[in-house]
Formats: sequence, structure tokens, C-alpha cells
Amino acid sequence: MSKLHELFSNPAVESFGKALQIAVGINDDYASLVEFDYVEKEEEFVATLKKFLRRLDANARRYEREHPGKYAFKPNEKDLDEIIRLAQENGVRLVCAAIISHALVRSEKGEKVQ
Amino acid sequence: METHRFIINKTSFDMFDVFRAYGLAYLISGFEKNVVTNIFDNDYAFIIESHGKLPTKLDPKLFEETGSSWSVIFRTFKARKDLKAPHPRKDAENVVTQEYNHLLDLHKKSDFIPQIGKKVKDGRTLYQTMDVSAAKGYREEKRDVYHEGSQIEVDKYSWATAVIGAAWSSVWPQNLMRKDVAFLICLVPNPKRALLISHRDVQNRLDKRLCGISANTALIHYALKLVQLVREKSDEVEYDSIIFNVMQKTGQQPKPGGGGKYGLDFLEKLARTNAGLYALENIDRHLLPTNPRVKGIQQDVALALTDFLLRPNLENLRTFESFYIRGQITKKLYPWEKGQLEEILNHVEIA
Repeated sequence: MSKLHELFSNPAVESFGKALQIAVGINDDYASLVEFDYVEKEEEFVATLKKFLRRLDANARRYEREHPGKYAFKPNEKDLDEIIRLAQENGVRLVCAAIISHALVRSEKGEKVQ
Repeated sequence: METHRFIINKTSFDMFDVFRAYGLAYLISGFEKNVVTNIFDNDYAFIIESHGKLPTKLDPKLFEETGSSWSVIFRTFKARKDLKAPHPRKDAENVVTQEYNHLLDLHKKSDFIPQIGKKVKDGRTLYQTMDVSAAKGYREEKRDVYHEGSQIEVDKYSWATAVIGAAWSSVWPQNLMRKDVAFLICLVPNPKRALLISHRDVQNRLDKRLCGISANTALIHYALKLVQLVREKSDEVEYDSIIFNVMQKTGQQPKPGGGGKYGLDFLEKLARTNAGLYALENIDRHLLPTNPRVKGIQQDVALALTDFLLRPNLENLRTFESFYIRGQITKKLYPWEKGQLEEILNHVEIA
């Protein structure tokens, strides 16, 4: 099994991938996609995650306000810690490739996209 | 049952060698099913093994037009009114008809090696459609003035054998013969081990409309189709690479555009699992358009995907992903099935 495949199967990567899918597909947040695409260093990756989560959070709050009783998907704190650890261990480029790969994947049946 | 072994010693001109191997196999078995013929690649030579009584004369169907590439393999031949020599097709027919038994006997000897050079006694011109690198790669020193170099010649027996192989085993994608496609590409799979009749079956069943955005997209498209088909016949046919020749169309004769060998390891690994096979099918049907005029994101994705399939590394994957996601955003491309993409990622080379 390749390192990339291992990362792709990691729940934290899956979670961020799903969030990126929502960001790009629903929120039109292309800036985050471009940033994930070009980020290379660890410090840049942390900054990218920060901006990405801030945008995602703003969109999630808007969605929850407009659809009372519904909750928007967001990666949790554990996922964040794990993704940072993975980036330190495997390199930013590999982790970003795995996250973007998730964003290319069809949502699973019955899964709510937002 | 009689068993005969023939040897095609390699010359390092890949396409010329493989055409000779197929050519000899066709010369032995023709289109009758009396002789079972196998081709094996033994690194230094191709071994042709036949079971059954050898024919004493050539199968005339080998010179029929239907199903062959006779019409294209002498594309670079320029007929002139004052030319005394016969057309190369007729010439090849004369050689193999008149000296059929001698030709087979020659290839039974392990020391028969083709004579290749600038001037070969009773030699014939090696056309670039039969191996660009062989025909145009060997040139003499050039100074001051423009000079295209002289032709290379090979002995008539090796030449005629290669001509038969080129006529019956080379693949010239049909949809790329259009005038608005700038290049010509010729493809042939290298037989690691192939039962000739199964090889023919694979070639006949293969859809020869390929993605003509570039020569590389055509090569990859052919490889994808081939790997899918061969999977069903893996007991009888195994190819390890595809040898290709590219020529650039000009106002006159086509000019050499390069050639090489593409290993099938990566695609074969993918085809071993169901998810991988579906991924190949998906790429074949949706991501490599056969219309060479396609533009925009579909063109970008096809080119990026081709680069990735040629060299499956992280850099090329990231470029492909980057284009693909943009195609998804504009609703021109569908999302991937998770299992299929997962299988592709499993084989990405990480430096």
C-alpha cells in the first residue's frame, strides 16, 4: 500500500477532504482550493488551514442560521491535530494531495453534503 | 505433432524487431488454423514456436487489403514515373513468395542477424513507418548545408518479414487519419508471450478510435483499451509494453516525430482489481475524448491525465487533480467513485 493511499484512508484526511468538497462545491470557496494546491511549507499549511476553517465556519454559521435545526459539517479539533501531525510526518504536499483527492470523490449514498 | 522453433534476433530497433517477430509468425501460420503459433520475448531474441505441419508456400491472404495496414505502411514512398523498381509492397510479395522456404530456414538458425547499414547487398530501404529511430536515427555528419541524411537499408529477408508484421500487427488509429490531425501514430504491443490467433482476436476487437489531442494521449488511450481486453485472455496473451512511432504530417511526406516504448506495468497493476478496472473504463470512456478538436478543461484534463499515466508520480497526480477539480466545479466532469480513485492512489510513486 502506498503512503498516499494510507493517508487517503485516514479519517482526519477524509474529514478535511469532505470539508474541502463542501467548500468548493457548495460555498464556492475556490481560494482554499488554490491555497491547498500551492502550499509547500508547514507554516504555510497551518496558515492555510486557519483561513480554510475560518471561511468554512462562516459559511456553516450562515447555513445553520438559514436552516434552523440543521447542522453543517466541520472537521473537529481531533481531526485538526491529526492533520497537522500527518503533515509533519509525511510532508505537506502529500497530505494536501490526499485532501484534494477526497474533494474529487462522489459523496457517499445518504451522506448529507452540508 | 511437429514442433518448430524460429528465432528473431533483436537488433535494438524495437519496432523493427517486433514487426519481424509478428511477420514471421504470420508467414508461418497464415490465416489458416492448421499451425498453432506462439511468440515469446526472450530479451535477446523473439522465439516463434509453431505446432503443426509447416506450410510449403505462403498464404496469399497475407497480401489482401481487408483488415491490414497495407495502405499506410508505405506512406513515405514516393512513386515516380521513371522508377524501375517495383512498389515496395509488390517487392515484399515477390521476396516472400519466391523465397518462402529459404526465409523460414534462415530464421531457424540462431546466428541469422539482420544486416543493417547505409549500403547492404540486395538490401531494401527501411521505411520510417517501420521504425522511425532506425530509419532516421542513424545519420552521417552534416556541415554547413541542410541535408536530411541518407536512408538506411536492411537485407531483403528481414525487410520483407518486417513488412508483413507491419501490415498485420501495426495499429494506425482510424480517427487520427483526419486531415486536421497534425501527426500520425503507429502502435504495436510487444508480445512477452502471445498465441498469434489470440493476438489477432485482441487486435480485431480493439476499438481503434483514440484520443487524438496529442500523440501521448493516443498512446495512453490505446494502452488502456489493450490492458482491459488482454485481461480476459491473460492465459494466451501477455504484452509488457507498447512500441510507438510518431510522424509529423507536412505538405509532403510525413517527417519523423519520435518514437519509444511505454511499459504497461502501472496499467496492468490497476487492471488486477475490479475497482482499478472500473477506473480504467471510466478514463477510457469519459476522460480521453476521441474528437481531436476538443478544447478547454476536457483537453487540459486529458493531457494532465496522460502525463500522470505515463509517469504516475505525485507531481503529475497533483496537476491532474488540480485540473479535474476545476472541471467538477464547472460541472463538466463527474466526481470519482471513491474506490476507483483509491486504487489509483495506491500505485502513485512517492519520491
